[in-house]
Amino acid sequence: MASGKNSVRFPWVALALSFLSSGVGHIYCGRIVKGLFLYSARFLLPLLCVIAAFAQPSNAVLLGLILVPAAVTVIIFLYSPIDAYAIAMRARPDYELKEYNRASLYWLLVAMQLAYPVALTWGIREYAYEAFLIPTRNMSPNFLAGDRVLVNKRPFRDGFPRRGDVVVFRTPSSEAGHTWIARVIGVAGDQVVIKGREIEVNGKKLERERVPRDSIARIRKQVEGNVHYESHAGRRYRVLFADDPHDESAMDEISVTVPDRSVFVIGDNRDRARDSRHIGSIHVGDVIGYVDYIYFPAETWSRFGVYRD
Amino acid sequence: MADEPMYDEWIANRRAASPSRELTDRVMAAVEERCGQRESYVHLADRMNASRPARWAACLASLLVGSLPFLLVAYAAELLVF
Repeated sequence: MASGKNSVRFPWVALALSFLSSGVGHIYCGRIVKGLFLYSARFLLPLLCVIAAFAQPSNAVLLGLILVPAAVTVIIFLYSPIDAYAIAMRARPDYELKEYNRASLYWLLVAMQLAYPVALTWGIREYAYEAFLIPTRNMSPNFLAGDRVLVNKRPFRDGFPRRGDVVVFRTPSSEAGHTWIARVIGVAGDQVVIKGREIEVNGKKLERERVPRDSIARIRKQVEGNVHYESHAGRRYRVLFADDPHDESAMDEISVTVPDRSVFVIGDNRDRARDSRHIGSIHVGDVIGYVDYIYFPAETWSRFGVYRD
Repeated sequence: MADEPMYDEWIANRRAASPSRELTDRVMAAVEERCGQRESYVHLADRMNASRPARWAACLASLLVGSLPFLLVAYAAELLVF
């Protein structure tokens, strides 16, 4: 592997190469194995995120396949330049150049490691997970303004959206093409009747029971009103109503049959959310995905992790 | 080998010949030319190594460029909002 030529190893070159691409500074200093290990780690760790998209959502998956690999990647980015600099400082002034000590190889490795995250980030956002920052209280008390959520974009992994699912969807162009988050209340063919605060789906009224105030004490700052448990299609989730029933304009009465390949969605903050009551049913093609995780919660970290009703 | 005496005679003559005055110049010119053929990045590294600001600038620029993927991921994760 040696070329028979000698050359001094500049520590600042090792540092700069490692900043550009983890592991390349080590290769410059002749530590090919360690360099390739660090370099490969930067390539392989982000791929765990793709595996996570196919796993059953859980806190272990969020930590083990998404957050810890992300943290390790940052640690490698910080560790690699420091270690490469130290190795270059200790290198002999008559360091014997190896066959792989070529500028063209360094630049190739750097270019690949700089281009890779762009392609991978695009791919993950398009096909695995997309992160969203929730800017409004439309889904209080389940999602607060400032929550950052991961939306699983595997298209219809469990078939079409089901009643009770929380989905992120594209709004019609009349609403400036934003993305909203809401809960599926009715699916294709369902008869949804809304009279004030009461909701009936296929003639069955959604039952509610009051949630004790102290159980939502940690998020009280963003939850103004009365919280109830609502039961629908075998699921039980919390919904919020304003203290003053006339506080916001909930539409008086709606009766709609959900069209084919569409869903009827309502925000959990019933008196304030904008949803299908205002923009009509949502075509399933406009559904971007399902909320799997709250990875950066607002207000309290007790809400961190997999989202469950 | 049959031609070994011929070779020995030839090499003896070559050794006996005194080098021309131009030989040193030609050797030095060849060395200089060889040095000139060294890859340009080595020259650049040599020059930058002599200048502390250049070294700092190179490292900071590398840090900036190397951080771009992390900024991209932070942006995609909605941790950075422009």
